[in-house]
Amino acid sequence: MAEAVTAGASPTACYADRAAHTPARIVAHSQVADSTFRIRLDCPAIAANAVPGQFAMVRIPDRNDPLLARPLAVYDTFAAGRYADFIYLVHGKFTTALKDMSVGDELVVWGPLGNGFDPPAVDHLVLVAGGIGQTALLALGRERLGGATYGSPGRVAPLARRVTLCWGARHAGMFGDVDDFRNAGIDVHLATLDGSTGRQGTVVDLLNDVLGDDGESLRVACCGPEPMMAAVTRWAQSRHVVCDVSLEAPMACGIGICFTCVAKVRDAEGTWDYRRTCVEGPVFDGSTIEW
Amino acid sequence: MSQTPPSPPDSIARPVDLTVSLGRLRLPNPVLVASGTFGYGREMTGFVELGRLGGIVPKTITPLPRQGNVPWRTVETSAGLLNSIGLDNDGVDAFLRKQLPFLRDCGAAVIVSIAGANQAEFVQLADRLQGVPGVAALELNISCPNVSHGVDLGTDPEMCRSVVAGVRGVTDLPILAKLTPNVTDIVAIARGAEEGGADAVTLINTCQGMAVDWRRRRPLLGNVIGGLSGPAIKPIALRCVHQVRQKLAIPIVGVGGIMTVDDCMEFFVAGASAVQLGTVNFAEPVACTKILDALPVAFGELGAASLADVVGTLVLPTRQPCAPSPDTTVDAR
Repeated sequence: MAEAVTAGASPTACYADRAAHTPARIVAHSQVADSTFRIRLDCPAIAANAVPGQFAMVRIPDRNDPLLARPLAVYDTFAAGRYADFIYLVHGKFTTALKDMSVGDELVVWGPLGNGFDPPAVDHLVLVAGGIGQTALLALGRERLGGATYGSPGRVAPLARRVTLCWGARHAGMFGDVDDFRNAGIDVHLATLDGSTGRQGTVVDLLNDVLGDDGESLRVACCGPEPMMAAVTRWAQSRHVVCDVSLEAPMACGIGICFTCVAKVRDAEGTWDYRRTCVEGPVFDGSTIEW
Repeated sequence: MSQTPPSPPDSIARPVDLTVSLGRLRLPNPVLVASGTFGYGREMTGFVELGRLGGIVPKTITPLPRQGNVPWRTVETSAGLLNSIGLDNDGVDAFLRKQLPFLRDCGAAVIVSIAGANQAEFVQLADRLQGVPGVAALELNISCPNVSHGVDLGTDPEMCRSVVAGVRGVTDLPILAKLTPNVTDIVAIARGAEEGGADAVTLINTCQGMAVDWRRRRPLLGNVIGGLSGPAIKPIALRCVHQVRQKLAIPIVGVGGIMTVDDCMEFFVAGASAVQLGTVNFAEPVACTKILDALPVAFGELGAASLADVVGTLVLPTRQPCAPSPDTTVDAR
């Protein structure tokens, strides 16, 4: 993105002008949780330029079935911006085919795409993940604790005094690579619906437990299923905290040409219009979304 | 086809005359991009050198802004994509203000796709675009499966003729009529377009379809029914091109499931004078470039020096196809 859209600002026309389209060899591929896999791709043109919260379209080349690429959040980048890691949940035709691909196989990838997260300076940045939503949040947490820089040239981001992750999932088996967050210095709290680990309940229950009212400036960055993000947005609004959400809309192209991935976004007058989450998002101020 | 291709298969592609005339619309090459699959062109500048394209058909515009249909708007199916976007667009005024200035200077011919709910709206849009610098031609989307409410102008030959003729009456621009395959007799509809004064017909728009989540007992598309595109429909598109080519002289722009240069060549041989790339732009945003690069080699393989040497050169079996007789049926006994 040439200019990141400020979440909540009036929608601006955006284009995937900084995206590269490139073959990408698989350099690592392993299971990290139930039905959850982590894949490392050799794609410097994407890894070097991605900022937290951006995504890439990943395609299995020369196949008509699955036909289209899928959007995957850039989880983190490695080797001085040569490799990009993605974590995905197997739940359909594409991800089922992807999990059977091996190290050395080649995919086709285009990105980085979307606006990504870029919250202003706050004391306490709260990352809220539901299900597989943590994939959009690790890089932001690392960046805001000073542990990593992203983009090219490296983005200068305001540091937070502390970063907390509240992550909810159905059961304990769904959490993969939680130590990535702990090792980054992020304070990690887990919740499960069945109580198999962490607090039994939802992430909103967790937020109420974890966040006292100690006068710090707060900002929430959230990614997960839509009802969960709606609930977290309501929670944040009740505390007068801004909540940036990364929408997980199905996409066909990722670059703004198909008009599939629209979400109802309100403007300053309060009327809504469908906006393309691929080029105008995926990150929006949650209070502008017509949930 | 059992015919041996005329052969000078030098491996080096020789210069090929790729220029094409679609009625009064003259284009430098026959590779266009299809409406609704290329945004307004600007989105694709990072992936395709727009000036190399034979033409760009931007996303269809309507007289007034339309929000489009409720999500989900697309669903991938076997080798295909179902869509019901619902002509989400900002209307003709916003198009002229925000999109056309870029398109006008991008180096490719701009064929503006228009859709109205009735003949009067088509005429109104054509009138509005008449004389506007940068508009090379109009494509009449008389076949969008997602917006008709019982009246589908593209499924009746007389209505098709009347829409085209109405537009013809108010514009000097070349007219392409984009037709739906969801009819019994595509030739009759194409004849209506020809009689109405179209310069070419674009064959085909999407095939109506739907997808079902049986566990939830729900349709997957927000609009329930949508249009199928992608490789799954290429045989249908080729059949339509062939049938129209057999009966009518009007130039044909072939579209439907093209993924590769081989697919383009199939359409040319079947009778299309030009092609549009659609869903492939989603699956592979650089596809246009790959196909343009490969085209001269494919023409070289046929020993063709120009597009005209290939278009409509399909060699049919001497005996007209008929139902298999019992003695040729494997399990006749």
